[in-house]
Amino acid sequence: MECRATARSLSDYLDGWISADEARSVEAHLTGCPACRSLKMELTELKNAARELPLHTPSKAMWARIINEIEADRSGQWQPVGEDAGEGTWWEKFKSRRFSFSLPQLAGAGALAVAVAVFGYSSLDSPGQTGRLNLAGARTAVLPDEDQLIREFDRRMAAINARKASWDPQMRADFESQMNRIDQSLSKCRQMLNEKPDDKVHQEMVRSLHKEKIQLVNDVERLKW
Amino acid sequence: MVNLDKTLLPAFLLALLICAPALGQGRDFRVKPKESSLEVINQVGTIRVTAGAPGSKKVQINHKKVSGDAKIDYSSEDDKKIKVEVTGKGTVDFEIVVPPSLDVDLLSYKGAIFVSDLTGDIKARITTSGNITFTGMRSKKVEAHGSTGNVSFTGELQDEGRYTLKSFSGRIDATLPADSDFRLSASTFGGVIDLGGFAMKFERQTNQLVEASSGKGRASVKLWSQEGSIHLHRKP
Amino acid sequence: MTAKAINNAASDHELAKAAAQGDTEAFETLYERHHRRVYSLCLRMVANATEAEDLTQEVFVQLFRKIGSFRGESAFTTWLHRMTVNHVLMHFRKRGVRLEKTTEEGEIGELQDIVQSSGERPRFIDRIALDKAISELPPGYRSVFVLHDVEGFEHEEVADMLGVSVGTSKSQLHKARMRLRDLLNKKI
Repeated sequence: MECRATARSLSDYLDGWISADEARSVEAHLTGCPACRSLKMELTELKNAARELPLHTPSKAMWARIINEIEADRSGQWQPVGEDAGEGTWWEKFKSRRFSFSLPQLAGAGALAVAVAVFGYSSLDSPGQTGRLNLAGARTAVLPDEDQLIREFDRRMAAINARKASWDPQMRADFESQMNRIDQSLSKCRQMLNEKPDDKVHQEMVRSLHKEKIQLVNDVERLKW
Repeated sequence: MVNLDKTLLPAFLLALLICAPALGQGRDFRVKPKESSLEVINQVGTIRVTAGAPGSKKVQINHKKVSGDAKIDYSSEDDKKIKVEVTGKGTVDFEIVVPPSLDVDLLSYKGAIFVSDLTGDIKARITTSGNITFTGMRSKKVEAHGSTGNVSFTGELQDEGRYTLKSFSGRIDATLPADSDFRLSASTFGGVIDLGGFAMKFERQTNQLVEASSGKGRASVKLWSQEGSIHLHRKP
Repeated sequence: MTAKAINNAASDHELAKAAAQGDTEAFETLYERHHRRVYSLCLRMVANATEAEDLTQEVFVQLFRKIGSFRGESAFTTWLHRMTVNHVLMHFRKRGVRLEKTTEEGEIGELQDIVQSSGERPRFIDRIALDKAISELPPGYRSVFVLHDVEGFEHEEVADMLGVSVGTSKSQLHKARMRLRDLLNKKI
């Protein structure tokens, strides 16, 4: 066996992918060829080193970003037919989606059920409209102007998200961790409001927190990031 | 006056030149106090604004680059709207002296803001961490909005004045003369509200919200901290 | 015992079940256990820290969405890593990254390097230098090497994930190793 052929078989040899006959001829060549023996040792060491590579650590803000997105995702589940409407009917998408609801969401669902009972199914033209109108309405049930606040935030945040990758990592981490704190607080207040929908204090708090989120976006716009 | 050996003079001048940026730079502007305003937008660092002599017409801005590679732009529209804007990455501290009645608008992403002895309209905002501190204020309109930092106000309220002190998770402290005449709206989700001994006429009072008046309610004081506590203090 | 302490003692499977019920603390524990492996895998595959961060974030968000479908038939780590690899490969496809399928002879110049080889003395490979050298590989070689040698997937699995034949996977792995050996020797 020549060096070239041996070299080509070495990886398979080391990984145990060649037949016993081929293995014997590789070994025969290695016995008489120091260069190929050396290559074999280097590849073995490389293979071993690959399994012991150090682990890298992402930025500390990673978890905040993830949980933020998960929370946003969860509240978004109130709108199974959203802007991404593509193939398939809303009902197919609705059925194919896995839903998990937190307590406030369940409470919201209860409020929705009551709302549907009050208005009556007969007034709804089609299943598509039912899902769109009522499920979207459930998310905004806690405040009359909440939907408007969310839309304003989402619109401006979309422009910011498009630029966020270029931000200084520490500044980005600070921004996202603050946004996350506000979202957590918002979630708590909405939960309380779901339990007592007429509570003016919590209504005002929910409004303040939405405004707090918009203020963060304002600042970043003013800071010209 | 320091006597310098001739041979040392060039070295001294060179050292001065090298150290100059660290020692501080800045700009002066002449303004018409009742018509003019100052806006400062900083990324990271401290902003300190103090009052010059009553009737002064000069804004003196000193900045010190503490670290990084920030760029500081100064602009002025007809001596009326002065704007200082920091862009890029870096820490910059500002020391600013203004005519007491100048309107001032301050924004910092991170870092403290101190304002003292002003009578003009004041806005101060910190996006992430840092405290906002007002002392000796006699402004008619104050808006302070912190994030994780505390907001503290000491001063006299003006009739028909509007004072809004907010922080997402910091503490709010307002120290006012005992005879202050104001209508209070204070709310917190996670903190406590301490009225500091003011004799108030209550409209609404829960653990999380107080709406009440002291005197005839001439000034409006709105205090909000979602997670932090709110404390009023009576200054005898 | 606090919830956190309970979570830390729980198995991945138990945590996955709790996370599937919406328990974000359980999910956070899973994140704490696995995020460095996932990030390192993404980083080695894409060789760009910002992209790797974004991909890691997307993987964990996707993991939360899909965690209810983990049945515990395979190890959670294997399942998660497979999901990560699929996500990175999807990212490659979206970005139009072509994984080399060529097997041109002489591309790696293996023979001359054998001759130039520095004797039979076993040499310790600097892990950090190897990590850097991996990032210098072309994407196709890099993917095969990372999946097979770093992550321990078998050739059949690698071929399946990359959509190539087992023969191509084996051939590219060999070329990747030879290229890495060259890169490491040049750094000495």
